[in-house]
Amino acid sequence: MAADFDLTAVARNLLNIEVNTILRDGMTGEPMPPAPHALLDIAGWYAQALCELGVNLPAWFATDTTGLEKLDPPWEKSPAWVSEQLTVSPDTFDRLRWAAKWALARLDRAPMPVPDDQGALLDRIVNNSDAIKEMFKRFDEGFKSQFLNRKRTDLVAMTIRRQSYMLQPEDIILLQKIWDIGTEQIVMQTIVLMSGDITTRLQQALTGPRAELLFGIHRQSVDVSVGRWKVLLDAAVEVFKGAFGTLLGRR
Amino acid sequence: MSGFGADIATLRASWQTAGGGWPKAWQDARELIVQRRVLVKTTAPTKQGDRLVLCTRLRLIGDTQTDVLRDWLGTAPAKDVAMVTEAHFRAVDAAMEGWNIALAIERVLLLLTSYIGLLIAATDLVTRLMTSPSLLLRSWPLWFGLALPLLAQSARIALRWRLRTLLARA
Repeated sequence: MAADFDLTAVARNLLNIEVNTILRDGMTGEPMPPAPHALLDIAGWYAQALCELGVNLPAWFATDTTGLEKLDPPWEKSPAWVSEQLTVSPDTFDRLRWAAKWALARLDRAPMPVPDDQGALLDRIVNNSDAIKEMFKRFDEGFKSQFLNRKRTDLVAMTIRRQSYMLQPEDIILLQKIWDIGTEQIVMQTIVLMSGDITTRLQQALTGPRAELLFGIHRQSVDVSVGRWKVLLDAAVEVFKGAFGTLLGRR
Repeated sequence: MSGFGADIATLRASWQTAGGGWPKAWQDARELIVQRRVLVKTTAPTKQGDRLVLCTRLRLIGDTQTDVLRDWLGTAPAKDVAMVTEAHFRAVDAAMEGWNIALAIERVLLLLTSYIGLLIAATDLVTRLMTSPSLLLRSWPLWFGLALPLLAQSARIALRWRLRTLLARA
């Protein structure tokens, strides 16, 4: 069981670290719910972001999946909501993905003023939806038999036992990251590679006297992350021993 | 410093901290594996009362995400923000130390158990050889002493297997 997991991908992620700082209007810091609920949370946030932009989501959910790439509906000032059509399925994320891709190509024609960071959010929806669709291929029978194509109302009526299904560790960690970030704006990001390269990205609109405080928060976050990188490597070696051997042995 | 010496130094230092000592360290280490991240939350006074203002998730794969409450950053005095931020990241650092401490506890326990087991076996062996060598094979302290290190190592392997299983629960 545990020996069947491919932990190489997880181990590989430790070859670089990514530090993100996000400004939120409110937060509770609650842990991610069980995976089926988390998937619907993500689908709901992405759908809401697209609707707020003016994307006609009902059109994307009414079309057959083979026609999504060529679909070209008009923008809507107040598009209808699609909550009842969101299900735990690659189909839902496929539709959201194509809707976001469409919007990205036509942002200049959006009916409402478009915030500066909207392009980045749409990119995120496309990329994360693709990643989630790939995850579905790896979900075990326990997950698929219980949750595939279920809506929120179905999940609420069920008792979800976490021991009844298993996900690949890399998928859980990625899902957790996608859920934690949601549709929030990353205002600062630093990526540190094991080779020593460091890249920092800042949001363009980050100005004003308070920006300095935010820089301070981000800097300390980077310091702690880099300082404790060895702890994470030690933890990973203890748990992923075989995966590290495979990883370091490959050229 | 040798491995054992370094582990003892780590345990002594952690015992003396005000952050909750060994139980907290074990809890933090468990959280890192079971939740696949360490989560540290800091509240501070705001106009709406005490609110969660900083929340850091340090994930097992090395990614870190810090959420900052926009309103607090925009209105709290700069000195307060700096002070709360420093305390917050000290707590994050301490939470990550939990894994080091948990590993040190495990290594020390494994080593001590092995030495105690071998000591019991060796003592009994010498005693039996001098008194009744024919009853050697029927001596339970000898077998117990030999079995103890094997049991400790098996427990360690079982714990690793359990951690990998917990890692996959979502």
